[in-house]
Amino acid sequence: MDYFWGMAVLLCGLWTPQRGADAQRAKSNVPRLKLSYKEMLESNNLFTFNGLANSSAYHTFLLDEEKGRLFVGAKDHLLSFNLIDINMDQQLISWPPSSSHRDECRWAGKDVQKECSNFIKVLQPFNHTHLYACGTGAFHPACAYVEVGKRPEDNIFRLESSHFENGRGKSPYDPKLMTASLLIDGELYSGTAADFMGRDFAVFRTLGKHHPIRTEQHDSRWLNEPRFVGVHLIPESDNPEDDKIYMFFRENAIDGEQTGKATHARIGQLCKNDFGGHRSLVNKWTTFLKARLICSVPGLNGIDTHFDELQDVFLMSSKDSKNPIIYAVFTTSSNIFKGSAVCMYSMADVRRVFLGPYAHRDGPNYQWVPFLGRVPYPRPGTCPSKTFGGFESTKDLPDDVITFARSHPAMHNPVLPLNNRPIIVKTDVDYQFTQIVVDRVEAEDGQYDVMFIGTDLGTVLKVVSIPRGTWHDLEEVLLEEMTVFREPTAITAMELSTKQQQLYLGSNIGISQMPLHRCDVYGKACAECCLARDPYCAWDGSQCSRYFPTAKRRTRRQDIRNGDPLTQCSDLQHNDEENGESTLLDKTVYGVENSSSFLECSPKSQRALIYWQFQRHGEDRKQEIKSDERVMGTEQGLLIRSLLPKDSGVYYCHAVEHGFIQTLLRLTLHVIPTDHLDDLIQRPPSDASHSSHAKLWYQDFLSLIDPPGPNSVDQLCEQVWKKERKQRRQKAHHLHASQSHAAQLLHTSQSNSSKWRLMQESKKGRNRRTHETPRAPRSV
Amino acid sequence: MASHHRKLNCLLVSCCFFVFLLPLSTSRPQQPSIASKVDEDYRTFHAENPEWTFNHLAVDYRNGNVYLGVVNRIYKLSQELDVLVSHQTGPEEDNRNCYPPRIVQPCSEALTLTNNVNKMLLIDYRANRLLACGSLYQGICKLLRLDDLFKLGEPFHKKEHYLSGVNESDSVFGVIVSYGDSSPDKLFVATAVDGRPEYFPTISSRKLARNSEEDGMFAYVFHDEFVASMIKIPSDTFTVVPDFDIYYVYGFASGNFVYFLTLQPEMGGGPAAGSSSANREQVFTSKLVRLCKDDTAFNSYVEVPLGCVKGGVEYRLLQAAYLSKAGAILARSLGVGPDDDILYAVFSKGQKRRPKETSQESALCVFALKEINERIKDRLQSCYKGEGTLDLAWLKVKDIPCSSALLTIDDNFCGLDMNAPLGVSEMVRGIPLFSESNDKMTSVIAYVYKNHSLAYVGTKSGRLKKVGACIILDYFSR
Repeated sequence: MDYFWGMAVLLCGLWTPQRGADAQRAKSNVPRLKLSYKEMLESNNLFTFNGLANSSAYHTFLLDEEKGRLFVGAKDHLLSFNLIDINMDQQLISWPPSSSHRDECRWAGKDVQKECSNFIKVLQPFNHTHLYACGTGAFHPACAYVEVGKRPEDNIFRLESSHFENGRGKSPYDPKLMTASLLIDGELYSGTAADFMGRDFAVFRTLGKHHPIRTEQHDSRWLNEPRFVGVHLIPESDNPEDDKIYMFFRENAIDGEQTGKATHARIGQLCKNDFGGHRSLVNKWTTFLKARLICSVPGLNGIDTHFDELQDVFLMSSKDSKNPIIYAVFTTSSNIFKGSAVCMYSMADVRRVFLGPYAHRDGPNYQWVPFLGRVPYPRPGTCPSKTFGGFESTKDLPDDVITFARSHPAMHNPVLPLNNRPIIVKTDVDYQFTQIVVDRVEAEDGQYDVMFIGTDLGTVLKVVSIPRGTWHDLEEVLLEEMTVFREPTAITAMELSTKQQQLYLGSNIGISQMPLHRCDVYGKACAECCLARDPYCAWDGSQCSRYFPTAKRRTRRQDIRNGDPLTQCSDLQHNDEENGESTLLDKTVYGVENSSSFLECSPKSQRALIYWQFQRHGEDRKQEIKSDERVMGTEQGLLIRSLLPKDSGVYYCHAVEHGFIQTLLRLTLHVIPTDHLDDLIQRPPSDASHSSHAKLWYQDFLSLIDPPGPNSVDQLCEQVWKKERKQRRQKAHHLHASQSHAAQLLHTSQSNSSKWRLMQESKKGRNRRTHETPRAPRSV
Repeated sequence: MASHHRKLNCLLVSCCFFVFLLPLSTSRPQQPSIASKVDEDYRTFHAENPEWTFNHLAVDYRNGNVYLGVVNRIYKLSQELDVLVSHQTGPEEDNRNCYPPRIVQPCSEALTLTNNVNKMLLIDYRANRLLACGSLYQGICKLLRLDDLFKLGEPFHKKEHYLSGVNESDSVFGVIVSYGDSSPDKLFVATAVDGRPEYFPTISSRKLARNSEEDGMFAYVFHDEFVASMIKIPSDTFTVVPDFDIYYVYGFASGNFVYFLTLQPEMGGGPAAGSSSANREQVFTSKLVRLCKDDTAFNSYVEVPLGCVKGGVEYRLLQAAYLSKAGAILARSLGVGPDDDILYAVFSKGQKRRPKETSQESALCVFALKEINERIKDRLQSCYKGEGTLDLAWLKVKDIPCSSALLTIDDNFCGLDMNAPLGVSEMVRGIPLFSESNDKMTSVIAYVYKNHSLAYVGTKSGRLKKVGACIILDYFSR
């Protein structure tokens, strides 16, 4: 069994070293830097709140930059965190459902733990001193005001428990259902399910002085089992009368739109000043329109792969508040084909679709076609305002407009993404995207949008989209992949504080906080900083650090667009090489003829490719090592099976990234012929010609060929590592700043299952290289 | 012991006798426009214009005055069928596509002189007025003083005042429910919606203001953005079956409940591709709808199919129904009390309404209301144990499974915001009393006379049959 498992591990790690462009492209989709949960914690790049014992579902976030607080709605609780450090002065409100509601919920056959609690679904700023919060209240939605004080130092966090409001149409009954809400000018817009059974989905406007208003009930042309993702206000003009509310959701495709069941992503629009119709559509939206959001990759034969399951939306606002860029995260609908994508949309395209033809069909057996007849005036979907004609209120709309609006809520044309395709697609991984936030970063060569994408496995991807030649040809650069929760759990909430330069993440099990950048992890050389292509970071002359566009520029080196260290750092190369050969890690390894040897060498950057060169003793010429059945390059290093005397020599491990070559390791391999073995064993290890390192190694070697139990092999490995670590510490000053961890292992027992276990150990050891202190030979 | 006795009784009481009468024959031309003539056995009345067909009839039980809803007229007749007063309701310039009606807002549709078909005629005893709703202007109503048919009110300026857009007189039914002197009466209105579910709820309960001119007349008893005292057929149902509708044949109040008897198409399989609804044959089911009188959220809505089998023939198309008391003799055979409500129902054969085909086969059947309620309770209990789905034809597009709950469901259970509205899938079978294959039965009325329950049945050809005191209790078909 061990054998097969080991074989699988080995095969997975196999790849053919190539220096061509193909290989470079193949690696372009992996994160340059992968940081585990422990690495994040230990490098002080992660603060975590591991949840309350009697709570969970930290899904509802509200960021208040001015007060410096992050408000979180969870199961039966509201929490308030300090944005600087979520572990500082936390505040807590307990808000469980009443026992009678809990009992009713239980009698109604619901799960006491999972359903009959108060899951906070709405948390919105109400005014300068209060928030508005709504929860499921054990299938009995309720809302309340939360006092938070005027100034940060007020230190108030209190539920106005004297005044609860009915939460119907604000929070769903069922905690599983998604709700999106926006409180603006004292009015709450919410997309939710408003009944116990979860059938009555609608977009509501409640609170405020006007009569509540909603979408038409039980009309699948309007909403067809929607799952709401986000609500935003986007002004249409400088006249606030034209303000529109946009909601993002996914829903079942309308009957006849697609054969079989399918999900479509939607953008819906409403006028902020819609008060419903006078006789028809009374207290119903009269300006509701929706359009499909397409995010697809063109395929062969014209059949596109669609990403339809809209998960999250982020609006990147520019100076022009009327035209934010819409970032949307999608996944595939398929169970077997797991894929995620990010698409970008422009408001110009959205508006063009809403001004385009309405979707129309004459009857249930007809096709959906663009409506070509006369559209009544004023055009349905236009807000009553002075800008677009003389209608004071939606109550004055002519009946033909209302009738048309009722039967034509959908637009015929979909909204296509910018450049007609996703900016990011991920299909070859075991995770899916769940959340997105975007930060606009000033870099030396321009502005870049850096995306932070949460996944269903508790990781965050940091991605920057860089124009290759033109803005229409974007290159997605996956800078970092970070694990931010202690166990795999979907990231369900994300907020970014530009003021604090921090990211806040919510999940079912807790809350995490991480800085937007950690430039020092990229390395201690200009080239590495440059290769990272992180717009937050630049080489400041002595280290890789946060880039500030206002600071002095002379010494700073940054090249986001090309990531070319040769142009940026060539003049510094001299400095880097001042220590000359001593910066290179030197190793000596002994192997016994006919046994196998593994020369470990792996780059820190997941994007770098390794290639090996070999220099026979006494020769000047270096030759590239080509893989064959005896010599195999793996991601962890070079495996030589059945050593031959001619394998003795010097091995060079080089990392190639973006055309930049770094030598990580110089390793000298001595092959001991079999016929010398007996001599060696009998001879006391006092040969002056060998280094102390070699002597030590012989002891290890001897114990290895003594009849070993499987445990002793492990112990041996541990010893080898420890000793090696000691050595390294001794020559720490020699370490090349860029080098990654390199180790060597030697195995004599051929076809012994323990050999494979050693391979596994070496792999595990490498993965955990920083979280186990005895094995922390990191250079950074 | 008791049940044994009852069985015996049932078998014994298996006699039938009929009285044939020939009333209200419209085939004979009558010259005088208003005529009441005294024959030996019966009197007749004819409207001024033979095209003004009769739609509804109401009799004031206190004095025997007869109110007649006719196309374009409301008549008040004496017991002797002498015309006491008449009130004109039409024709008027209208177009049924004008919504809101042209009397409220100018309408761009072509207007023609349109007859006003009477769709609902109810006596509001407490307010001493007649509620007469017509087909003009999207179904607005007049409130007429019983004495002289003086118009007390005619609300028309709000959307709640438009009760029904259909033109047929026999698809709307109303029930006035009184709650005693302190609280105002309610009007339960049930109507076919003719493809316009967004304008007209199929069943709703309205405030019946004492003041006929009150603004809130016919306002929904309760209405907010989530819950309303109404049932709307979702427009999605019309997407699947464009000509779906629920036709209301009869309605009444009994105990804590209001009942309607309906005829509705089955949703079988969805739209067949390419087949137009015109030549597709709809399969109909007769269903009883029950609501609690006090339920403002309409969570108590339950419907159950009704039908009748006699001699291996299924009678499932409801034609007419009437609520009566059992009477001692029938009560014994039905296993109910003599004062318990029973329902007479006339069904025609099969489940397909083919207007051109003249199937005359029909049957008169009787149901004990208690049994229907019992069956509804059984289904409510099983649904609250999580069995089956909500199973309503008009909500098929949103059918969901019943969810279980720890509840005790008694006879007066009025529903929760879960498992509602609910449909019973199993048909309740009536007891066939009498079948007729030559002259289709179209109407029924009944009363109890000296412990005997007597029913009068009207036929298509204008005959009246008296079916007396008798049940042929077919044990094996129950």
